Amino acid sequence: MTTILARSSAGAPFIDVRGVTKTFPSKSEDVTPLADLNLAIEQGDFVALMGPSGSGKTTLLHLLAGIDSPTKGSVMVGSTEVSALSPRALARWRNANVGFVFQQYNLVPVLTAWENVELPLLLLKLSREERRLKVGVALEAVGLSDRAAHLPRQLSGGQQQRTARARAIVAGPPLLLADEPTGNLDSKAADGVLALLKALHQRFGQTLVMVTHDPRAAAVAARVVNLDKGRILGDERVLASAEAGGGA
Amino acid sequence: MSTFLRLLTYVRRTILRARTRSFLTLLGTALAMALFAFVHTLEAGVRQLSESADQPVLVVFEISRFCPLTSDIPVRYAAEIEKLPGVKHVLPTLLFINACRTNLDLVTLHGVPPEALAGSHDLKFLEGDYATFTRDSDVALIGSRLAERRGLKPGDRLRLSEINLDVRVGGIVEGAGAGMDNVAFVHLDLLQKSRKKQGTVTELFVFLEPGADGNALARTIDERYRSDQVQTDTKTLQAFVQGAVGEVGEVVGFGRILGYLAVFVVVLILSNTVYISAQTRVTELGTMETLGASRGLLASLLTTESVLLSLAGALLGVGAVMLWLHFAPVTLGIEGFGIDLTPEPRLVGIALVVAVGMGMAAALGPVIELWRRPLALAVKPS
Repeated sequence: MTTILARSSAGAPFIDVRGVTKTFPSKSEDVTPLADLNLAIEQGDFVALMGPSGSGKTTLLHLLAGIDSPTKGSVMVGSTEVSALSPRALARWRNANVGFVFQQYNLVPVLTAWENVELPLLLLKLSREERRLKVGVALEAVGLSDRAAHLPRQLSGGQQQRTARARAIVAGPPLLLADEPTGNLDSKAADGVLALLKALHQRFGQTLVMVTHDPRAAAVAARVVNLDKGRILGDERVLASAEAGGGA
Repeated sequence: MSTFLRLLTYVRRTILRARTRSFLTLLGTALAMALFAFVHTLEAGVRQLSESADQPVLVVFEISRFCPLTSDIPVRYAAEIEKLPGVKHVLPTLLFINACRTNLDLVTLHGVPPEALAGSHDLKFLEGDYATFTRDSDVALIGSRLAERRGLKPGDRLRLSEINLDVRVGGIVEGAGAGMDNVAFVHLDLLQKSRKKQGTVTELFVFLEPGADGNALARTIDERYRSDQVQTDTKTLQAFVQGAVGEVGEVVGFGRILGYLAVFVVVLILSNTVYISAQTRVTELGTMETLGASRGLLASLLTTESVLLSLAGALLGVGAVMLWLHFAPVTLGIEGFGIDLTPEPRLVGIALVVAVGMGMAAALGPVIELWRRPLALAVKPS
């Protein structure tokens, strides 16, 4: 699989979050999950965002993916100021640059595993043969080639997670975002997913940002950023990440 | 466009995902569109009858008749009227109708002098010939539409027990005049005998010379017989047909309102279905947007879903009406004139255009809802 990385300008981090504040207006009291947050992430890094519920992890992930926009500040990914794009441009940008793994996988129930993985490619100008090759590689990478014709309801939780992961990497986006990748899995399946996540990161070299509560998940990352009440409490680089084993 | 086409599989599977809901929507749409098609066909039949009555012909009836069957005009009036300036030819006609007022299976007999029929009503022979009709007194010429409805062909017998009449089909004809395709022509003598109406006819068809003033002639005729044996009521064919059609005008008008209501109901049914479908797929649509689908693309997918359901329902409903009226032809009879309920081929086109419009209108609400919902809320874990 070819991964085309969107380059940031020389010396600048691949992801540059500057002075970002996000406020959700409310009738009683406005909620501000992120307050004047600054964060820089280098290309190819594997970052775990940790913190208690309501600390702003998922909001930050959504801002990085262009799913939401900051109330104040800017989000740069590569050479693109994501926070300044129109909804239409954002959709195109996400398609080419972001792979997103949702906590609940969010597979389309009426499409098979193969068709779910093919979905991002349908939005690109690719021939049927190009799509076939890419989907084949992605499913092979997550070890799910033999379940390609199954609908999501016919797959186990771990298999659905892997399908979602294959969908996230199939278009070769330079940025991979995962929201609680082990949140809905039992311990054994979670170990398998973490091992796969690490293997995929090593194989394709994408920048990977993962939101997690799970310390074991954070242990496979190269860097752990701790958030609380919308601010960064800790930011540490893990020198030797723990080995995760098992299969889903 | 190619992206949209590649995602049609998704639309198809989404429609089939909730089969019962889609089937019920399809059924509702089909029923409403069947009503729309029927009303449209009725309107077209009335219009066609009115248009075909636009000819230089006068119709003379007895004044104050209750229905055509209660009009008795002396046959001698025909020869007298034929002498008036501007009159080309008069066809005395004795009517028999199987139902006097309004009915759905009209059989109208026109008893006419066989030698006078030639040159009247612009008859065209589809089968058989005129010579057979003039030669044999027990022969009938059958209008093409009536022949089709009753499955008659030359050599068959047409029996009407109400008046003890039994005639042989001598030919199938097509007439240019109003409702003439629904008429069976028989010998005047034969019908007079059957109806015990010797010496009288029901009406006179007065064919005018080009340029003759029909209204003035109608007044002249009525004036002439004001103090005669039977007073006359003369109208142009068009005025007479308009008057007859006016009886069903209110029904047609009410039907038209029902047709529009049916279309409105379809929009509501479809809108409800697409809305529920979109509501149950909020996260799914949000996911597709996260994967790179623009809101325009998602809106077009929702609209396509709605339009496809609408089109399928319309084809089903209109198709059912067309098949029904093809295999069981219906002619609505009014005062002896037949309104053919024959669906026009363009009805399919009209129904398809209406269906596309309905589908698009029905998708409007769900699409606006989709457009207004923030993506972050759509993909928020439940």
